[in-house]
Amino acid sequence: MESIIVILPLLVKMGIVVAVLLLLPLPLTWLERKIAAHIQQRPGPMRVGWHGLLQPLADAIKLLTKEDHIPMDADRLLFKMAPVVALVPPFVVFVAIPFGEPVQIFGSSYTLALSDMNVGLLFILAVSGIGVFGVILAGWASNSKYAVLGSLRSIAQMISYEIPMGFSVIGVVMLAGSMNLSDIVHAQDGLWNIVYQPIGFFVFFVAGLAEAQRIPFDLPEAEGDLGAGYHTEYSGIRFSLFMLAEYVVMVVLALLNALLFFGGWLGAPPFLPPALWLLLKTGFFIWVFMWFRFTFPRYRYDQLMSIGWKVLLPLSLLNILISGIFMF
Amino acid sequence: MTEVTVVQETHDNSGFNREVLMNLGPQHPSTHGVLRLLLQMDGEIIERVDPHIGLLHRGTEKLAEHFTYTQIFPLTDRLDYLCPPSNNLGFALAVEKLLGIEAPVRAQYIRVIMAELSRISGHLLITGALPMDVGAMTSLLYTMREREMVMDLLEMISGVRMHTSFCRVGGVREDLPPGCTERIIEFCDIFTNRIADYEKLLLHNRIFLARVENIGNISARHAVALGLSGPNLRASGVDWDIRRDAPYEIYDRLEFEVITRKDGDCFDRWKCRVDEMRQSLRMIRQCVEQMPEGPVIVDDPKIAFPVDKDKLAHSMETHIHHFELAAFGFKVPAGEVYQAIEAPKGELGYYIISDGSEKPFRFKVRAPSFVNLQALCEHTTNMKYLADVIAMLGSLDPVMAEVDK
Amino acid sequence: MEREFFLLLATVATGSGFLVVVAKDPIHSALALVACFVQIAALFILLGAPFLAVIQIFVYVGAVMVLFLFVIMMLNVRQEALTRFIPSGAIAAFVVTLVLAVEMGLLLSWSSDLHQLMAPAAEPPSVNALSLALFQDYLLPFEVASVILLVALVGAVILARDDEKADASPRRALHPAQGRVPGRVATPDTMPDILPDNGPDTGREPDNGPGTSGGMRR
Repeated sequence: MESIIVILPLLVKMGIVVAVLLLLPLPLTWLERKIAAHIQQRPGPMRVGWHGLLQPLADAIKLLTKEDHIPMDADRLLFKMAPVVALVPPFVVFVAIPFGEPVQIFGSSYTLALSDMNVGLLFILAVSGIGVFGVILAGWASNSKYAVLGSLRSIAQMISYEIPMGFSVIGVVMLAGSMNLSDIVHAQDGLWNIVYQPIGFFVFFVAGLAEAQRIPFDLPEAEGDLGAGYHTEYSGIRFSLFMLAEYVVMVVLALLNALLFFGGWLGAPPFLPPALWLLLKTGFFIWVFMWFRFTFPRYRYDQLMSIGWKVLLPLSLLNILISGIFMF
Repeated sequence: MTEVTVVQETHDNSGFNREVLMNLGPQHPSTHGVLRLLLQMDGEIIERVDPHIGLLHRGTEKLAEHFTYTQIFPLTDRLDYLCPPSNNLGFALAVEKLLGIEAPVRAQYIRVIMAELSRISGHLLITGALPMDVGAMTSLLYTMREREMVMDLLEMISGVRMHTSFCRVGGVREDLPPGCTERIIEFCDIFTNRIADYEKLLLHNRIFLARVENIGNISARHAVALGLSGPNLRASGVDWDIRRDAPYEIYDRLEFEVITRKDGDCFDRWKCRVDEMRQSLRMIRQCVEQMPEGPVIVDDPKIAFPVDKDKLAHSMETHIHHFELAAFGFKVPAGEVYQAIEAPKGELGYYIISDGSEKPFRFKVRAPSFVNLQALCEHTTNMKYLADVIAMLGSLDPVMAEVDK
Repeated sequence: MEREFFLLLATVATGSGFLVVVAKDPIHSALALVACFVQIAALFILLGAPFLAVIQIFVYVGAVMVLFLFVIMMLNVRQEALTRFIPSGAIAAFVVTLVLAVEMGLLLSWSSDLHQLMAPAAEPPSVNALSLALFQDYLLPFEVASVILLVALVGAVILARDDEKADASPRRALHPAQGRVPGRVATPDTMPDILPDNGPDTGREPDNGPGTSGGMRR
């Protein structure tokens, strides 16, 4: 009986997170297309629903009913596995993300996180690193040179940018004295980390863009030279799983930016629930990502590497040094 | 894409597979049509580029041998479909040279206005497409917006947006519609600011510069040796423009600068075109100012329909000429001729051998894109990475319809 | 419940470990190894050491295995997968397996209290305790290890560089930066002298005739 009381809220929370994440790409694709359209001075989708609001639904139906094409000499098992492997880690990351203070419902207290673990930040970085396996498998299994090139690019990119990304949050961890995300947020009571850690934020943000493979670092799927990169050969529902993974990664990164550097749910105006305030901040970062996508060209492979190793990595080390000196 | 991929790995001495052949195109977002590139690559590094062309071959030159001279105009439209008026102009000039006639001055002005408008339309595409090839999607949408204005002007003049076929041997089909010159000037005013907008967006964009500066340099010597022409040649520092150096039509009456740049890299080729659009605007303004009144087609019943349509009702001779012209076309004296113009992409030449009949005996197009595409071989430039090939291809601005003819 | 979880994770770990050996495609076996590592990370959590679990995933799954796969993809091992690495390796493998099995059996029979092995630590080791151990108690071994790693890193870089320099395949000459031959510019007779001398001069004529610039080798 006791185990049910423990497990039931967990299941409910898991259900909510998964459902929200599965449905999230629908509004996000609409938003992305609308933002693109307005940046490019055109109306964007207008026909399906009010201002094209139902367009993502139509797209989803289209993607789900499309032929699931598997190339002839593909490694069928891995080809089918790849989208799932790409999708699972970004979902798992949400285990460790807190959305606010514990709430009281019917006299019992519930945390707004699946597990507010002590090594939360490290867990997030580690698990999101697994996401690259989906890309590797997709590239390898497709038996297409575009896909292999795309996945080789993305492996190199993800390994290179994980390092400055990990180093850039060390400053935050030093300030909070903990890797628990709730503690990190609490440590920002008063002044947000962006004030103390501008370099750290810059490195984290840029490395995050590269991890999420957004422009100007979207080389793995650079349309101009690789067709669609690692998912060139995918169609229908498997392709949409990759898209889903991409959007969830973007949400994760936006959330982390808000949690680590912008005070999480702290500082909410009185009329807003803190969780919503956090989501608003997240929305802002998602918007910034989209804004970038339709403004910047993309870097070349070697330029991307030299930015990662020669600019971001030294900067993140410098950030640790400066933080250390100030704390000392 | 995959079915034509030649899967072949070359082995070097160590027996270790390094080099991969990759098939870029013909269906690929960045090949500007149906160009197929066989790339020999060592990872991301390009070892060799081998363009395979001919996928859009429509036999223009052979077809032309069975068409009368007037019927060939629509064929020339479809060469460089971004700027049909200049293709028309080149062909009309070639035939006029054979016939030994010259179009009336007003017709020449109209032709030049249309040619320069189409130059803007052609250059606008690459102004937006090169940034898009390196990832900046929005610029293309902006330039397409302005290209639409050019299209509207062309439609106002000729009634068609794309394949205008407005030139005739000995002039143009009809006079400018009323109110057209005002619209053209209005466009010039708006467009000047828009060019400044593009430059503001891209000229100081570090990522864009990193992708195009010092990529795909072509030295002046190589540019000449390869036979490049147009902006691709001028970007390498060779000061050569047919409009100035071998003027045709009324270009000698216009004041304009020939834009040259120094380095001959992708950026210079792009910037050269952007600056040329400014010069085109200048020329269009001058044309509108200088344009005299008068007929728009030669008054020769054997070559052109009569300007005064009433004559048809009164003169039997006119009637006969009209019928012959409509039914069989006009005869062109035997001989051969080469006439080149400065088309947006470079030197567009028409070589015609006539046997004295209504149809050319041989019709040859010296298409600038075809020659310019030659520069896409790796040992003449400093391309290194796969992404550089894309930038290089974009900056050479080939139109595959013209390459394959 | 912990016991059931342990059994589940241990079974999957052993199974995927077996797959590593059995799988024919190196990519498959690398992936099986990934699965094995993830199970072991889960076992760490069961033992009350989440930090170690996360590090396990971070280092082994996120970095080491990704590099493994990277290398496997770079080298085309699909053909080589079927050829044996060591001739008559089966016998050696069998001997080693036998020795290991005997060893394990002996260990199992000697240790009477196996349940101790899977008992969680009394107090979950915190990050503080770990770092104190690393940076205070065992500082010297830690520093020595890092110096050794650094040396290995530098060595690898030097090896890779030498390889690059020694690589004198003809394609290098195709790039203007490497293949420049000063003072040997062949100018076509017709070329006017007014041309500005700019850009990279490769010292080669663009037209190398049908032999060199023609079609691909097939």
